[in-house]
Amino acid sequence: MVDRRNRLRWALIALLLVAAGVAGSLISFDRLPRVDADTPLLPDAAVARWRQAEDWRLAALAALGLLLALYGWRILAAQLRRGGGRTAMGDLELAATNSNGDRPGGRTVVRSPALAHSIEDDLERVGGVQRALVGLFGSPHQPELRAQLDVSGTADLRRVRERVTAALERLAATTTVPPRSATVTFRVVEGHTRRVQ
Amino acid sequence: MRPFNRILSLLLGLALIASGLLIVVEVVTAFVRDTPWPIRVDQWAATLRQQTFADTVPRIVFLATAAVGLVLLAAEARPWPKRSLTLASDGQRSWWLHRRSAERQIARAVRSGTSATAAKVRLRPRGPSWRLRVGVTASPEARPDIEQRARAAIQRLGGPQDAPVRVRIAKARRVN
Repeated sequence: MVDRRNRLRWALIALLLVAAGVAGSLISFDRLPRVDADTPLLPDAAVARWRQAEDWRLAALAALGLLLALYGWRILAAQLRRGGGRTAMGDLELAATNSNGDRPGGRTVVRSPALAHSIEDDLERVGGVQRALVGLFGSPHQPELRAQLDVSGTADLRRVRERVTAALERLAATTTVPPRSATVTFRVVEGHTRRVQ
Repeated sequence: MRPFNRILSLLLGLALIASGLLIVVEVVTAFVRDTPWPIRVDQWAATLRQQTFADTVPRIVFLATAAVGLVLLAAEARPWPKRSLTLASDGQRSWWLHRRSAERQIARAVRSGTSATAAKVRLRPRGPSWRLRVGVTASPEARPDIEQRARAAIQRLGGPQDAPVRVRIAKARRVN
């Protein structure tokens, strides 16, 4: 998502650069009618307007500066956020129930990083998987799971897939929160398959 | 291109924050002290008033701006190879394979099981299937072995069995 936005943003910026560069060059070579090549880069009229600017215009300019800084912050934060701009999953809250199905009060809170780490541990126990990186996004009761698994080059990915499916189903059963969707990306790394535990 | 765009966007974000805050400070200081700070806008405005479009420096800047814009536009507009290839999808679960790592693995498989000394692999999606191109330095007799090793590697990676494999062989140079 972030990559797509970046691509669009830079394509637009590139178009603006081309437009500005071409327009400036045309004026510079006196190829644009109505604008003389000897025109100053900053016309006197613009300077005069700035000097006579009323207070509210200055305030509007300051507000524009703040908006610009805010937009810059949004761009910066989007690049640094994990998960390609998706909303990270909040903590999972489970209401306590007794054997009769009653709710005696109290609740269990499972921190989302703890849940992600436990899934990573589980996936790393799958034969052929050397390292697992899991991200949980969206609603805690129907999360979107994204996993990147480093698998050994000697592993058979079809078998690894079957084992990972089983691990994900175990997860759904133990946490009572089946992921709404799971996206698993395998990255093949050099090395040997670990023994299945 | 994706990491390049990310770094560029990080720099853009920082530049926008800096310039946005600079505008606020300039306006406030111009209002309070009647002299903008930290940049004397009136001084560089005077320089811009003296320079015309026909001057050499602005001309170079305009041409450079257009050139940079064109290069950037071409880089953003050209098709980028997909980062991952689809292995399977059933609506709820989707399985992907990191393309570069798969290319490296196929190259390793070709090099380790045949007489090929160098292998360059290009893996691309082709509809629901994949398309594989292998460039190797080997003797022409090694072609069937190389093809067979590449197909076996695709199969182990869980890829489509009908993926077309094209092998291009460059003969190894004889050392005198």
